[in-house]
Amino acid sequence: MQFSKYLKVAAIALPLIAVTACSSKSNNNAGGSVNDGDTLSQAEREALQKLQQNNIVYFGFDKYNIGSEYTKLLDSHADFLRAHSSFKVTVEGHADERGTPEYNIALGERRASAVKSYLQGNGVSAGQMSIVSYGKEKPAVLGHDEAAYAKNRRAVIVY
Amino acid sequence: MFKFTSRFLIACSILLCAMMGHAEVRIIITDGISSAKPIAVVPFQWTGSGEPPQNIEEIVASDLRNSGKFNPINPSSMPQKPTTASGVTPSLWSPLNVSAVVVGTIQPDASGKYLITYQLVDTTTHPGAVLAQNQFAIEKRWVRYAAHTASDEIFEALTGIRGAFRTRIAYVVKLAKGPFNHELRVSDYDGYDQSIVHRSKEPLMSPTWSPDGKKLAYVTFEGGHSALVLKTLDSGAVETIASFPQHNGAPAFSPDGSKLAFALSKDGSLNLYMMNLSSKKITQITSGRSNDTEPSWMPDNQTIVYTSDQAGRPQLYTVNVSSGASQRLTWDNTQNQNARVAPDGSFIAMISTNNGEQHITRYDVATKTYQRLTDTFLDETPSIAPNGTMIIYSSTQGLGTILNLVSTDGNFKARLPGTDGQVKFPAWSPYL
Repeated sequence: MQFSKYLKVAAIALPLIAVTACSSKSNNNAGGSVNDGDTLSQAEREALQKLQQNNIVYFGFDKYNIGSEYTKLLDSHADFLRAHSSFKVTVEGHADERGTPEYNIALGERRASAVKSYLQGNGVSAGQMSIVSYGKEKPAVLGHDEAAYAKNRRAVIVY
Repeated sequence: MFKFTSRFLIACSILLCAMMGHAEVRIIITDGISSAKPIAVVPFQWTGSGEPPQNIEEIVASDLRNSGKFNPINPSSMPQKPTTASGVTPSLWSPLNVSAVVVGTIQPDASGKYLITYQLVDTTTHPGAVLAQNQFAIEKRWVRYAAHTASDEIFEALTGIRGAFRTRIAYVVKLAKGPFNHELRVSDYDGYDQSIVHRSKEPLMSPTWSPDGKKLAYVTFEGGHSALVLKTLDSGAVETIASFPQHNGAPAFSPDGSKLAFALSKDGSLNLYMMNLSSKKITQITSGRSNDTEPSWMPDNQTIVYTSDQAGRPQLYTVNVSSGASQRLTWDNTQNQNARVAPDGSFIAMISTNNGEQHITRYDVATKTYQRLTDTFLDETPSIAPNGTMIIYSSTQGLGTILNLVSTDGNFKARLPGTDGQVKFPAWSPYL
């Protein structure tokens, strides 16, 4: 069957694909204010850079709850955002390729909302966060197996 | 700012020119030839010098073949090649089971225009009878259009169904590279005469035609958030319909063109709303914490079929936009979603999921029966031709997406692979 051939292509192509989530812009908030890195100390800038590199929460199939392995990562974002209340983030939600594009928007929104709620529960102001769901429109990796799907069911915190 | 804008516009126009004339989609038929009726489209007589501007017989034969109902025979197997109805000898065609023959001419005139004539000749029921004929005096750029017009008339004369060969399709192409790698394009239904409507750095989704064929509503993620916009094709004017927090998507015009339904999630989950397009007033149709999206209107301009996950997995429901009364429509399959109501309301094309496979399924409204139409991979976003005979949709092939066609009886299947990117979100225009 042809499909198995595609999987092989996917297996080869997978490692070649850059994680698009890393290339996010420094500022794309609905609020319009710029996250001003100039006001940060050298140490804070390094902390922010580290947060921007560790900003993805992955979810199980049909799952929208945050796994315990991500609490440390999210707590560090919450700490930073609490300490820098002028900073704003967009939480991007994503789904895997199964389903239809408009309905999958809902799946991405649930994931983004889960991250937003967690951060809010840890003291981050709701006004610092906005949500956008891309559904299945911005896959991190291409491929039609669970390994690819697991990398695509995600929420990304973008500064 | 001005410098940037002008540089941007220049860059756009250069790219636009570079895009024109190549990288179009083309129809490749994969199934259904055997059930199609043999027909003959005889090469049109060309009276000018050199080559004719277009091979009319090829355009007409492609249209008839693309309808899924006819199988034009190869000109090399034709027993005669007449150019007028009087030259057709019916007895020569019946051994080939050819029930009708199309003949015609194309000739240049002194003013640089072309005169195209055609006749459709019956070879079985009333041998020699002319079933349709017409002539068109047109400029060179309208030659394809004239050929499609002949196809429409021939198709209607033979089937009683209005032809849809002068329609267009809109679709989104995701290019492999370039900053503006998301493009909304329109082309003729057969992929010819493609043009770019919108170029974006961020995803574009869900284009849909206004019933007058003059506007497209679609979703853009430019600026890092979703917005639902309405673009007038002639003027290029863009109007923002909805740009609320979270999602603004799934646009669907009412058949009378007075309202646009869509889904917003500003209150946390997706709910249906509609805008009265003359007053611009937005009213909420559904409410609640489940997700309601992917609206499609019934011909009554009052009822919307939509996807809801109120019972868990997505299924189809109907809602009356005036009363708000809602009812579950589909009960079979693991999931049913992305409904598209046929122009006459007799059936609904949708995406059904069973055992992890998602395919285009036809739901017959009167008999409440389901018919799976496709065997492609990860089918999505069906759109029905205005005459109800064909569905265009996207599916996954390799690591990309392509457009596909399937007839609404499931017999005819074709692929429309793109040559320069992933093609998705097809939307068939109304009659133009």
